[in-house]
Amino acid sequence: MRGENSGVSLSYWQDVRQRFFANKISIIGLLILVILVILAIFGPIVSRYSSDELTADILVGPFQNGHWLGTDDLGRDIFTRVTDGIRLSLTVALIVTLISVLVGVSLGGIAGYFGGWVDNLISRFIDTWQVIPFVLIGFAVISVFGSSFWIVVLALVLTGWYSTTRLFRASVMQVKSLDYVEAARASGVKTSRIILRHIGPNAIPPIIVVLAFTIAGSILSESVYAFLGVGFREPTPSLGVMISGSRNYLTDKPFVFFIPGSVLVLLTLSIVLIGDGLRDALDPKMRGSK
Amino acid sequence: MFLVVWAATTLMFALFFVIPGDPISLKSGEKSIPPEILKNIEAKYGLDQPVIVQYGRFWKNLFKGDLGYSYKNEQSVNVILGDGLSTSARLLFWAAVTQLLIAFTVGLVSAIRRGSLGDRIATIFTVGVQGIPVFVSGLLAQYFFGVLPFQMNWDWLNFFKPWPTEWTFGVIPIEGWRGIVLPAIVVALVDAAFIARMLRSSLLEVLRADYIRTAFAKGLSPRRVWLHHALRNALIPVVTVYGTSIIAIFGVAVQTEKVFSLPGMGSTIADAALLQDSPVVLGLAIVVIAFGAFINLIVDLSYALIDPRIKVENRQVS
Repeated sequence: MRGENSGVSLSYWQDVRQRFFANKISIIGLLILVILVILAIFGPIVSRYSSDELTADILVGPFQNGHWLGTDDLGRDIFTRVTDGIRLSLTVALIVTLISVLVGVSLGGIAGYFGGWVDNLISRFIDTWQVIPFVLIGFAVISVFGSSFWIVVLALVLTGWYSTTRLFRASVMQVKSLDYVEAARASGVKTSRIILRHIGPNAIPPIIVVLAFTIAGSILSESVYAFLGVGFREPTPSLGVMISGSRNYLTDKPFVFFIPGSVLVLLTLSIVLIGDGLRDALDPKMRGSK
Repeated sequence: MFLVVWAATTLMFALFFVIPGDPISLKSGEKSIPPEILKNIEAKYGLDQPVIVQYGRFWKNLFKGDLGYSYKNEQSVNVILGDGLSTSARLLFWAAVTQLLIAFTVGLVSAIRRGSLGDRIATIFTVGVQGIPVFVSGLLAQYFFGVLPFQMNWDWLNFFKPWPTEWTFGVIPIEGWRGIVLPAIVVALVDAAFIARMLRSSLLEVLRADYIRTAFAKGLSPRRVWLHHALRNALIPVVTVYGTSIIAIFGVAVQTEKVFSLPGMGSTIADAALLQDSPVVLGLAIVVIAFGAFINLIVDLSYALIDPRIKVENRQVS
């Protein structure tokens, strides 16, 4: 927050921080996420293998032959693959979320601020898009273009853009109708200045929450596409790919499934918990409460 | 609503037919084919025509109830659809039953006994389920209710059984009911948790209303107040989210069918998408979209049943 909105808004953000850190469950989420991020960053440094390196140790259990978490059916080191998988998941999710939020802020902002036929057009388009189940969009995109990194990103943006757009639209419309915006308009402030200075900052809190849920959603969708064979494919170290490949060993070598499976769950769950905590902390109605 | 379905279908058509993507190599198996033969094949499927002509023919066939033919093996999409639909419909039916059971039990109990141990467990469960991908919970279910009981020789706990083959009344299996349990629960779980949460917060909101206090003050039994006064009013927002969540159930069903190797619509579409067999994907997608829109319409109409204050003609049905 910048100097000119100090006073009220500074204490608002302090209040938000206090309430967020008072929430034990979100702190647990934050801790798990931090650990996973550290693993993702330092995994390749501490590991002696690379994620697509084939070794002679086929399906050995954890802590055997120098493989901390064992190896998969091709003798690849699971620890290395999992840490690379976390990094891939997070990278994809962050890029997708960034693009989705940019699209959402611009389209939703335009629709919400100007209203009228622009709003109508954008809203009807969203209505249409919503009727299509998300996997179908992914199927269509990926079956037509194949599966490179950026195509997976495109498919995920196409499944995620409308919720950010819809939310930002609603948020802008709500803030727009507030009295102080009327007052700014009445005193002759330019439209661009109203959008950037008066509406923008106040429409941000809901975006932060959506940010968290979009990241979690993108990680989930990416793994779903990979599992179904329409996202990343072997030998890419995606958690979904690893889980998909582990299905044949569920009976004899369950760790091949449980390790990437639990990492994926911890990753999405930690972000969902943080998002939940943020939602409660940012809600002005809950202000002052614990 | 029809406008939305039309637009969504057109969008799907555009995704598959306007974007470059060539179904012919599927038949030829990636070999290079002489240009004359290529032309013949294109003419056979009408792919040499302008997009707008293809689009017109697509709708003409659709109105005749013809969804087209697979590029891969010339099989009619209608037949492929019929095969997958029965499995998916049964799966969804049992999932819906399970979902309502779980959602209402969990939602009601955690609202009535707010702050109790049960409520706290329910909250953890409902948040936790959001972070678990469906295919992971499917595999977990297979492990804990299939692999593990098998290894331990606990046959009573083994629910990892084949999907039943014979049914009475369309949905009741003649034998092997255990085969339905896991897939149905896995499909149901995500939305059940979501609905339970909505129901809980909606109920807690309603409970603060004056008429609830009045009803208790009149000396009505708590059971009557809960079920007649509170639940009915709390249902309205829940029904709203139900309409939008029903579309997402398709994604859930695809993963479940894949995990449990069920020959349903979802796994059929997924396999066809991998092969770039566009007529099959498009044909099945239309059915899925129309079905989703139909359920949404029913949900919209049911507002009037739950809440007589809402008149149907005043609502925009979309």
